[in-house]
Amino acid sequence: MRNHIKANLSGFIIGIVGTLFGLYVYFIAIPSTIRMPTREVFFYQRPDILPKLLAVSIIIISIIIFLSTFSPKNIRTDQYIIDKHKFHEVILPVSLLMGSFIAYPIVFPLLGYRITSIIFLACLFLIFGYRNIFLLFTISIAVPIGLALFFARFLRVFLP
Amino acid sequence: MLEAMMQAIPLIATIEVLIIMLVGIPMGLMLGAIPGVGGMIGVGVLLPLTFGMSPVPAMVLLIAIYKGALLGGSFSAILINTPGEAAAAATCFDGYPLSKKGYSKKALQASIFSSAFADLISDIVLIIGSFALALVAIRFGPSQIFWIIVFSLLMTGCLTGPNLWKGLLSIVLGLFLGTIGLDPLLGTPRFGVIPVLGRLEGLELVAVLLGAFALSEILLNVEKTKKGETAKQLEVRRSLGPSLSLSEIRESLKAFFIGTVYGTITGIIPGIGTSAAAFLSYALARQAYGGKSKGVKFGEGAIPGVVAPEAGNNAVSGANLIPLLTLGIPGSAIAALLLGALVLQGITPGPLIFINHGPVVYAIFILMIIANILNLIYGHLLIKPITKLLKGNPSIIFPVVVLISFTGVYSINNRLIDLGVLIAVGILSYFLRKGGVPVAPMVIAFILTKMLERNFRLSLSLSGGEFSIFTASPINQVLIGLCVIGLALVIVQRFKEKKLLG
Repeated sequence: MRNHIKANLSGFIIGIVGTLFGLYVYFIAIPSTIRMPTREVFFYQRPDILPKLLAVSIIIISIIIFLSTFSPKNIRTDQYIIDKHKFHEVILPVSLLMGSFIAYPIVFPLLGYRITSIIFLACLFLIFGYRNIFLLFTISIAVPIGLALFFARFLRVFLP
Repeated sequence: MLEAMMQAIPLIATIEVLIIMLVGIPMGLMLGAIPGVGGMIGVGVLLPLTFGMSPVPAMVLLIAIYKGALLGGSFSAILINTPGEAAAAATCFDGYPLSKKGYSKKALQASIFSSAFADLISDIVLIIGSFALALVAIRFGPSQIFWIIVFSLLMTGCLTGPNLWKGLLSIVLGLFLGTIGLDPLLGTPRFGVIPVLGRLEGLELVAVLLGAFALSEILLNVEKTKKGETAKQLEVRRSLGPSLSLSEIRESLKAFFIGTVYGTITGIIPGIGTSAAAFLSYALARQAYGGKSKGVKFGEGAIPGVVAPEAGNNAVSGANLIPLLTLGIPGSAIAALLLGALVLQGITPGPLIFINHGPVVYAIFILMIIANILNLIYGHLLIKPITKLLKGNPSIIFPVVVLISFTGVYSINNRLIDLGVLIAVGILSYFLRKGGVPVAPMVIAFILTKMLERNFRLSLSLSGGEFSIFTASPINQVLIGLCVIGLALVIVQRFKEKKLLG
């Protein structure tokens, strides 16, 4: 059984996460974030009818995906299996990339578009393994400034 | 129809449109040829940049990129055995062996001719088909539209990706994303986990599109770059060999017709997509030729083995826009992006599109046909530059693509929350794709949520809460029948595939 789970790790994880997410939506998110109308309405007018239906569907489909990982017919080599030696090649760059994505909207209001984008672009080049320092700096400075000018001139959008 | 076409001519006879066409096609060809970039990222990145343009140039730019990229994908498939677009994967079977034998030019020319002419035929089907379907669709009420959306979602969820349940999960997640924001009937905030989220009319379409397609693709590509999977590119051959002969063109005509007919039919049905059309066209052509052409076995460098999948995947592109324009239902990921562009331009696709925006639609049709001719010309002119491009390092493009996506999404509403949506959807899509869950159904479902909910609740309002409205009319019964038959066929096909795999 352990081998089946290992071979279908994505189904196993998606099954568990999906079920928990569906339960969270049904029992916590819907009651706490959807305000019901004070007056009496027909059932099809209720704003929570579709979200509830979807939460139940997520739970059912996730359970089916979870159970199918134990099926002897369902064997596939899974992309979720992570080779320990691939940490530097896969997990680290992906995490760094995600981290820089998340950092961008946080730093943006503090430093403005141009400076944030120059730093952001330089970081991305480094994450992608680009090591030509001269080109790295030139592109990192030219692209954000060029974009800011393009948006201001042609689209009449002024970036802060 | 003729009057609208005449009104369309001034819209296309401008310097701006001409320049866009001349620049867009080669740009698409280049983007399509670079493995991992492709038309999806090209169209996605340019999408937010088009909202300052008028509708015709904006749509033409995106369509030119799309058409160019579809053809460009076959270049890398033939030259380095790595399809630039998923749609070109089947082209590798015979394209790369031809290239290895020193006949790269023959394979590339076969791909260029079949792609351009199949696309042209598909566009003609689009022009005739969409007008005819719009005339029928104008009579549809909310319950009929509800069933059409259900059919599209079922087909998209069941046919995309290797696992039926994961496809359906993708659909449900997309519908869930679509419910975030104000309720379409009462205006009540929904899922305001962060208060501003609930007050939005809905998640920004462009942010969801770019997150699902561009950002997740780049996250997947950073892995490949680090693993050194791009090293294959060094194998590009210097000599391109002789050109395609007339007898080889004659020999490939059967494969061309198989690919074109099958691709066009596939394109009309939502969810099947270009890859499936290419693979099935290849399989059908192989059967029709008895496994070999001119003494060369399929898989070892048979020219019809390049022609059939290329005609198949390109014939999807025109026909795929029929449900998009006439019903507002995107049948594929790229159609979803084009829908996003239409919405940005204030054009709502649906049965009334020919009445409300007739000249714009016909201008797009005419330019689609011109784009095919330009594809044919540029395809030949760019063989050598693209061969050189494939020797370069594509990873330099990805950081720039990320920044353009971020800037474009922010600039639509000047809101940081849209950037948050872009990043969240991008990361979610990355994990889903890693787990074998396709993201195209999620995006299509997201787009259709409001339409589905509105028509569902409107139908019940009209019937006073009676569910019989969904089964009462003969059109509804036909549509329910289609859903059941479609689902049954998919399940039978899945069982057959499982049996075949042992």
